[in-house]
Amino acid sequence: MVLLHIALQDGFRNNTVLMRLNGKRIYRKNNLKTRTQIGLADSVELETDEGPASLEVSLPQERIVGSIAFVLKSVTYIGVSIIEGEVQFKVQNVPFGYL
Amino acid sequence: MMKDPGSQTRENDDDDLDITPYDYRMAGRSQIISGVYSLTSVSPPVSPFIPEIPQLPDQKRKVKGTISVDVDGYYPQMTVSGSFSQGIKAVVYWIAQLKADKSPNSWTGNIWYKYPDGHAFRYKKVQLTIEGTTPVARVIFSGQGSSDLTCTYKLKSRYFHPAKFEFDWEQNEAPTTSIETWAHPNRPDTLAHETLTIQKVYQRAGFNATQHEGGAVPGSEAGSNAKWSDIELHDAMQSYWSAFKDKPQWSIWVFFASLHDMGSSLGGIMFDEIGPNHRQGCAIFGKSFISLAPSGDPNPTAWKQRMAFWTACHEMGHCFNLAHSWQKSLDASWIPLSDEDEARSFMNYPYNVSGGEQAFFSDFEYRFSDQELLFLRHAPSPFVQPGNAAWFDNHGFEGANELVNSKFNLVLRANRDVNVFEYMEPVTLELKLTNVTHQPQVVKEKILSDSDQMTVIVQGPDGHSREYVPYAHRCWSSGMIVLDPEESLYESLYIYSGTNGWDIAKPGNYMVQVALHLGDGDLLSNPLHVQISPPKGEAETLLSGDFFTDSVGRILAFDGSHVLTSGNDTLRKVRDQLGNRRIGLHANYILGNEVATDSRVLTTRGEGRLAFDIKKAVPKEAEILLRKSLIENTKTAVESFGHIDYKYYTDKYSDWLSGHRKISAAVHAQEVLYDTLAARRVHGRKVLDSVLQGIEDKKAAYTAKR
Repeated sequence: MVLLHIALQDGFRNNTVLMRLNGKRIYRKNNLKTRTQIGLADSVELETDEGPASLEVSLPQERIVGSIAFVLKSVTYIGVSIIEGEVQFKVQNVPFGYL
Repeated sequence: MMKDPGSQTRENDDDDLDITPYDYRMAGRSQIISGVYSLTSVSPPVSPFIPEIPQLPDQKRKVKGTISVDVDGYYPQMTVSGSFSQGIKAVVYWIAQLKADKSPNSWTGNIWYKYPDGHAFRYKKVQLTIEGTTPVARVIFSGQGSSDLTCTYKLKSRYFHPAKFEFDWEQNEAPTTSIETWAHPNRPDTLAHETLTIQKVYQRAGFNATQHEGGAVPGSEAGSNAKWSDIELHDAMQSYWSAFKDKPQWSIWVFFASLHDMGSSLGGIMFDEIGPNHRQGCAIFGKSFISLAPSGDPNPTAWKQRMAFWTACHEMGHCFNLAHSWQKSLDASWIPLSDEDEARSFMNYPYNVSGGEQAFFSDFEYRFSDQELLFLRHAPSPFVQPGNAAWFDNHGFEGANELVNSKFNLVLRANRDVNVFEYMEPVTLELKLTNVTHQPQVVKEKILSDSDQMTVIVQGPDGHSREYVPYAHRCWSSGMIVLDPEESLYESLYIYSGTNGWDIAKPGNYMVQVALHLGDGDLLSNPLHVQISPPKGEAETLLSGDFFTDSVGRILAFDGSHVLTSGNDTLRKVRDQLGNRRIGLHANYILGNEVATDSRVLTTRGEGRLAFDIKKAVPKEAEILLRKSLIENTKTAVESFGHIDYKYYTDKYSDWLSGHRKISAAVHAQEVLYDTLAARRVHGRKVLDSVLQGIEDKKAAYTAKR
């Protein structure tokens, strides 16, 4: 098992947000809003199996969907932002910092 | 001459402080003249808001004003901004970008920003001259249509705003309010070697900043978990900040604490979104990730010191309503701003730029970006002042409502070399809205499609003018877009038939002009002369009686109708008898469009019951008619429909083909569209490359479906 940290960062404006990891729903929240002064709306951490994985993020009311495929080998941090109507991902192996 | 009306209300008569020889070298002159000036006289003695009205002798109604001159010193923005107020409610803020004149200490520029909406301040240009060892500024306002206004100002302060900072700290934490700029080896070679304080950073940004260290705050205020929540921080601010007041003031409380509830991932926060007065306090967390120097760093102690210092300046920037560098274009930016993802600014995240924080600090000069300095120095002061405008509300405001005519140019044109239309040929023109400033401008994305945002006047052959009134008013849920300098928006404008009837149909010469309503006034297009040719042949004359009816007008305006049967019958006659005329192309398109898809038609059944009937599509007929209209006579079609509508109709046609699995035909339609537009020249002007690229992309998308 390995730790996966997902941070919902910029561009959320009272949206309903759904996340699926390998097709299984892991997150749903209504009225999600980015705190602009730190660029963060919410975050979630979970333990999951090592190996290939895919994360899908959707804002159903806005008909915005994006996904990313990656290989989990060690602790992984994924940042998710909505930029110009598209889901953008940032993947790194160190924690995100907010200011 | 008017006595200085501002003399009773000054806060900072003696804040002309701390200009060092280094500052003078930065300015390249022996005297710095940037700063805030107070109004001393207005000539002629009229109201700047409504120049036709003389100022009243009543003292309460006299005009007050200041200007902020920004032409030298640290990071000059070559800008003058100002405000006028009269009475309690009449206040206007304005900003002009300056260019140096040939004479020394003289500049001119256009006013590109005014606030608030609906003001009556109509000047468009300024000429600024500054003279004397005790500088006196003269501003000539012009361009509002009547006489110019000359205002004289005297220097009030070298800085744009006052600012008082109090630094408190949690027990066992220490405030970091200064650094040695050369302490860490990763820095620009050109960086001044100095002890840099937060006070100096903000002085260079234009604030008459003072700072003092307050005292320690017990860690118990953070509750049992020894971590600070936003509420606990706000409570501590109210209890321990010696200057706390429930009102806007040019002061900030900066608190150096250990950890936030969020843990080590939060290095600092402007926590104050609580209550009516936001942005008065911020906190820096000394046990967060900002205290963890990367492994192998050559000077971890200096790294930590620098990061704490940087974070304090960053959070204080939020207190002055600055957004992060990558959030400039979000929501309610005070003027249209571009994101600055790579900016070497206090408001960026060092580790988010290309090359990470190593790259950031190797090129960082401990400053704010020009966009940020423009905001700090020249935005309406309530947007900037801590405790005033709510956070992020007016890093920002509805700039688009403030557009003045000089920011944009509106061109009305026909997509043809000679503006002559055949008899019965629908008149569709094109609007082009261009940002003519040197700044990005925000505009409603659908402004050229929204008939409520414009007035179209048609002057007929008889000399009488009428307003074109469309059959339908489209209410767009319009987003905003940024138009970069010289960038344009385009839209077609159908004006052939409307609720007033046929405004531009009889043979003769017409003049058309559009006024676009931009909140601050109307932006007028060029007047466009259009000629309608006389009928050609007996058939046109005979058909015209049936053609110029309300039902045909509506069918043309809406690209078809399933219920206006008499109008459709007329168009079939037109198609059959005038197939070689331009109206024949339009008739083919409309009749083909009507049978392209199934449609629901509201009908009455027994006892007045309403129900929908399904009118089945006739795809074969649709394909024949649409191909005849769009593909078989492209040179005429693109001119008669206009570039924008021709592309729109052809895109719609090819999508329809694709939906019927006729991929090759869809690809062919896009190829024809590409060839037609690529070969097209109007007054030597080509179709934009971006449009052609879009066609290529669409074609490629179809091809991928094969």
